[in-house]
Amino acid sequence: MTETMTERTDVAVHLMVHDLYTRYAECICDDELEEWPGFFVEECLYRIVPRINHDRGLPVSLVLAESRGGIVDRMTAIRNTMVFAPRYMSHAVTSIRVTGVRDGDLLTRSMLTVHQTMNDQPTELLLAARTFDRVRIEDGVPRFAERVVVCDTESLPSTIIYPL
Amino acid sequence: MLTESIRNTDLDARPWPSRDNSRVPNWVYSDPENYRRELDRIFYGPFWSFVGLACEIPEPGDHMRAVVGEKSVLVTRAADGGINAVLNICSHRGLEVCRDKFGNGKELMCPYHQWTYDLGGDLIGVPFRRGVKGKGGYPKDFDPSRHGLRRLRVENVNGALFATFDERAPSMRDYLGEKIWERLTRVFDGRDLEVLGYHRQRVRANWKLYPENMKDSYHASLLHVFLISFGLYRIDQDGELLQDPETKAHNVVSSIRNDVKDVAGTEEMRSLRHDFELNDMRPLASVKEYDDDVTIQIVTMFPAFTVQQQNNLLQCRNVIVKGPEEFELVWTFFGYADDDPDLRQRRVRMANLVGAAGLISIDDTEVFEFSRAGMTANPDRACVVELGGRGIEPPVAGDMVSEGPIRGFYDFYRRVMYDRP
Repeated sequence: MTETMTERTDVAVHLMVHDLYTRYAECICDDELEEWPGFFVEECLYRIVPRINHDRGLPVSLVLAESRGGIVDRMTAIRNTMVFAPRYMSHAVTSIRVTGVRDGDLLTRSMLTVHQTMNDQPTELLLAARTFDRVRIEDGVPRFAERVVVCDTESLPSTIIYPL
Repeated sequence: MLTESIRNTDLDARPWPSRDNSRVPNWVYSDPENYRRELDRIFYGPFWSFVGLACEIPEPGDHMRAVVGEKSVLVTRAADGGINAVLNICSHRGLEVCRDKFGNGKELMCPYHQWTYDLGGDLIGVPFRRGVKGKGGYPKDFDPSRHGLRRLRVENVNGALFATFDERAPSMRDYLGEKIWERLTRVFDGRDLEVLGYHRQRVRANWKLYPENMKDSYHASLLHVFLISFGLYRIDQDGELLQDPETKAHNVVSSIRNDVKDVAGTEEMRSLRHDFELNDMRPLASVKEYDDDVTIQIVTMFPAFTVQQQNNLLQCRNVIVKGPEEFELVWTFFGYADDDPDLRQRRVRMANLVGAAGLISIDDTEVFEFSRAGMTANPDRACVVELGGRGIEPPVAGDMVSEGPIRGFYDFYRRVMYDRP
């Protein structure tokens, strides 16, 4: 009986986490960035980091936000101050898995492939990455307390404008 | 078509669109023949390329890959602590000897037939030199000392490493001139350095656009809305545009921040907005760390290396050429080994502003691709470079909107590229 309950809980948690990753990707690919900060808890950590820095323990990120406010700032810059050519993003998120629990948060990871389509070019592969995340469920709503995107693509084919 | 006639004309017979350097023809940003000559005369000529920081190879036996022009080189730390740079190509069959970005070992061994070199590039081992069971082997007069890895000259400027293939290159200090040397060694001041991370990105545009952009203080107040909106840089700030008087090709842009509320002279900047406030100010929070009040210092060396200090943010920006219409931009973020954790954290946070996803730097690399699109299709047209005059004399003191340093670059470039050797 207990075992069945646990299995059911695991499945429910997995579906909830899977749904979070799916909605997150949709938010970015649908270009609804105004919704993006809402996927994070107030006191959060968001990093995009080249794999070489990650592997060598070097602290510099490609993008670093240490609060939801920092994420709002990035969104504000994308929408208002950055100069870049128009493009569409396509995130393929696979292998989503809950790897453990720490201090009540779910430790999760996923594989991420991002394609980018400039408006007058064929679609290109922007990067391949792994994400190492921490999901907090509050009032039944899962949000990222931490999201660390580690990019294999060391030499990026262009800039990273939109969130990963 | 004019476009075709340019491409079919020998490089030396092509007219420059003006006697002075107030015009730069678009073909210098896309022409393959011109690019091949740049490799030979500039990147493999008597000029210095950045190949890394000494702190990246701290221990004897450490080595790392770097690039000069299009050629892979290995920078090594010998047993005596000395630093060497050698061409990363086996003398035997032309392989890249070493594929790892970083490594450590007493020697360098090519995996194919195990030709083995010491860390200075001398050939120290050749399998089957005497053949097998007394049969075969290399000729008696085979001389290993003639088959070492090609060595480059290296100079270590307080931990920043530069290399050249050409023995005629002057010492780095003579190369840069006293003024530029002084600014380079303001950042590389002799303290031990510490790497904080790397960014690498491809830019689909000609390499020269990068050093030109770093020399051009004009664009910063117009293109970089983020910088302006948050009061990080404005053209009305006090500053200096320094040039090496000898070559005019190395230069420094430096700036001292004024009070954000002091906006006199900014009426023409349409992108000046005051309506943004950051929710998280930590990426901008700096502390004074040098003896002077310089908040931005950009040192640009011919041909294409830049080291920038922006408040507490220190980075090398190295341009690696990848053909006439592409380059790789390699960012090395660094601090000093004796930084306290607070200062190191500030450098790490400020890195948000620059690099391959930088709140400011994205603008630059994006517009270079716009340049490529425009220039490649229109090689018969020319850029207009007249701000601050048409000559190559240094901008007058206090003039922070001059394209003089770009004209200086082309004055030198044309002599290197098109004068009869």
